[in-house]
Amino acid sequence: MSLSLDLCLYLCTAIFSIGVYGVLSRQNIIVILMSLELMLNGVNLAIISFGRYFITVEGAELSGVGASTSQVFVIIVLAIAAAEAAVGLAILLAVYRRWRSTRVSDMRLLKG
Amino acid sequence: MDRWIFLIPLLPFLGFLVNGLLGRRLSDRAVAIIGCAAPAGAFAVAVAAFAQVLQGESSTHSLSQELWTWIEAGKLKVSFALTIDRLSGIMCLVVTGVGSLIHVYSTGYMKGDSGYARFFAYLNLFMAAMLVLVTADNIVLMFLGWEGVGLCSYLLIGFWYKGLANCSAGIKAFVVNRIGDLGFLLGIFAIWAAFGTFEFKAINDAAGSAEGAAFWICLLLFIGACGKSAQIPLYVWLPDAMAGPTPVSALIHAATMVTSGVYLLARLGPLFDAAPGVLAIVATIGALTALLAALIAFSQNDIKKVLAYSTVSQLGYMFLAAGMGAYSVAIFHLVTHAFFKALLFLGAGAVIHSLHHEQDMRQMGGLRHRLPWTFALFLIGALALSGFPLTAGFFSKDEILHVAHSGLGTVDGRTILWIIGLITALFTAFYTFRQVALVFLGSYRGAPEPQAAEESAALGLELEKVEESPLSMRVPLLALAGLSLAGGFLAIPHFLGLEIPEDGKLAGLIIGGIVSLAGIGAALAIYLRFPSILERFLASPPGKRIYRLSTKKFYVDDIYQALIVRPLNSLAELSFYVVDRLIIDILLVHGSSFAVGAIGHLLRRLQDGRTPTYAAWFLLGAIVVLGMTLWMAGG
Repeated sequence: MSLSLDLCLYLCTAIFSIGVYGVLSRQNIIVILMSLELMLNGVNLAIISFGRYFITVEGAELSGVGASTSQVFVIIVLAIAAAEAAVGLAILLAVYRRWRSTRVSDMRLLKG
Repeated sequence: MDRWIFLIPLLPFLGFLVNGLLGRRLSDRAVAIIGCAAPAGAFAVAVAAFAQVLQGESSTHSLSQELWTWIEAGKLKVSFALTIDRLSGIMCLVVTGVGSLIHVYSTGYMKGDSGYARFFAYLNLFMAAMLVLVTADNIVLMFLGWEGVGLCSYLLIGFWYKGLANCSAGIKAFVVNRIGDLGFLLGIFAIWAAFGTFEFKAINDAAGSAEGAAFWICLLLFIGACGKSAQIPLYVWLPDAMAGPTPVSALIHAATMVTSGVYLLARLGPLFDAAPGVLAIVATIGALTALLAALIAFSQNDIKKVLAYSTVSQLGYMFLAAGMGAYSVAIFHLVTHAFFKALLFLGAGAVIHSLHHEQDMRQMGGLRHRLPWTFALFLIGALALSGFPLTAGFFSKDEILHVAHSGLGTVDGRTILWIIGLITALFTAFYTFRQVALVFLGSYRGAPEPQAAEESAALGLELEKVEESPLSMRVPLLALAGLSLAGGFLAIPHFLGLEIPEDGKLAGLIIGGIVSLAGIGAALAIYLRFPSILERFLASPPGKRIYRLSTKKFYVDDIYQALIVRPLNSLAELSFYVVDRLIIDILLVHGSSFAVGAIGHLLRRLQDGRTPTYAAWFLLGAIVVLGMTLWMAGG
């Protein structure tokens, strides 16, 4: 079967959902950061898919939307994701020094 | 002279302010001087004003002074305006004259009391309010004075406020009065609706043309008068009011405040003339009250209670006269009654004072030897009350009986009321001299003879320790006694412009004299010589029943207690336990704090310090926003 937009979006949704699951349910803080990256990548994939899809639709040249728009967008997102990962790891280091644990449920002051 | 009328109520009011605010720091002597000078000064001004009124051309000449505009709202205008005409002049003289005498008496009676200054302050305030009441030229201002005297009555009845019974009596007086005041207020509103003015002159002039309205107005005003002047059914507060100091009983509950109702009727005489139905009611209630109170007075053992019921009875006489349309005859009796009833109360006070606050007549007797002056003066008062020939009471009471019998002008004589009045006169003489006999005659029952000390049950003071009262108390008694003897010759009805048909007058005077002498003789005979007659009567079944009715005050108080007081108390308890405690305290106050706490408990789960939880809320929020955007864009 040909690669339709729907198929791509299913994949993106799956990747994104796995990422969401990871952020919400995992105890290890590094895994949470990785899941966050997953979410970002899932979204990236969605943007690329839309870019590729729109090239083959009539009138796309008229509105000026082309494959290159989505590619540029994704490059920017990737760069930001990298920067954010760096900052996140720095925060992780600082938090580890305080709590001496990588389990997120140990990092709370409020008693609930 | 017009310009000085305002001094009449103002001087006592100033006395109230000085003694009330500064009294604690002044010596007793200074307090007494200020307290007595105020009403005396008012008396002097009243005399001067009255003299000028008398010299006027007609019998309706009057002096007026408008002081300031009190209420002004659109068409409604009420001024603080005073007026002295013959009627209010006489009232002023009685209030200030008898009032001054009672103030002087109080300096001796209240000596040593810790509330000395407070007493004189309240007494002066009362005088001021009463004088406003009688000199007011419109009914709203009169109501101000009316309420003022009610307030002072409450304050003075409960003067010795540490005793619960005294406070209860004060509350009872005020509450019962208030019921009457409702009628009075509604009457005021009705007057405005019917006449568009509050001034007495205007109302009286227009009275002829408002027949239908006049009936309701007068009925409502009469209800107010019943409350203040202790007529059936609102008389129950007066005997309880004896809890106050005796000068208070003399001034307020004998001579002045209780007569306000009679004054109201006299003031609006032409209006009441236009409502003959109400006049009939007034006369009937007056006569019945007179009889009922006299029957209760028979069995009372407290020296002041006898006089209290006697006052209610005599007030009934005044209303009987007013109900016959003979307002000036009612005023005549008001004046003479003020003299001899104040005398009797002050005399009783002298006895109480001499016996160191013993009030039970069963502990008295034979006091004429130890208290000769008190005895003589009290006796004069008793003779006047009983209508002994040629005393003041004789003339005024017989005038009333005369108009009851023969009628006046358009009002027919009512024989049944005349008979009731005559019977009550007989009873009056009887219970009055029963009192004289029990207190002053016979032998002393208060303390045992030295030999019989062990067996005797008497509790009172030893006879040797009983002494005559000080001069400050005796001189006013002398003055009042003189007035009780001479007052009958004042011919007040003629003064006030009323001419009464003379026929049958002499016969009436003779009958009245005979009745009075019969009552006096019977009382003295039974209580001094033949007590066995009384004992046999009281032992017999009808005698026992009548005696029980009398001592239980015809169960009126008990009926009120069951029908009114207890239901109201239950309602109050219901309000307290259900509405106040349960609904407001528990449900609303504690409930709302509990609700806030519960909500807080729930909301606290939102912030548990766990990062994943917060992340989940982020997600939820994002979904909601996304959904809303799609929904709004799609629709």
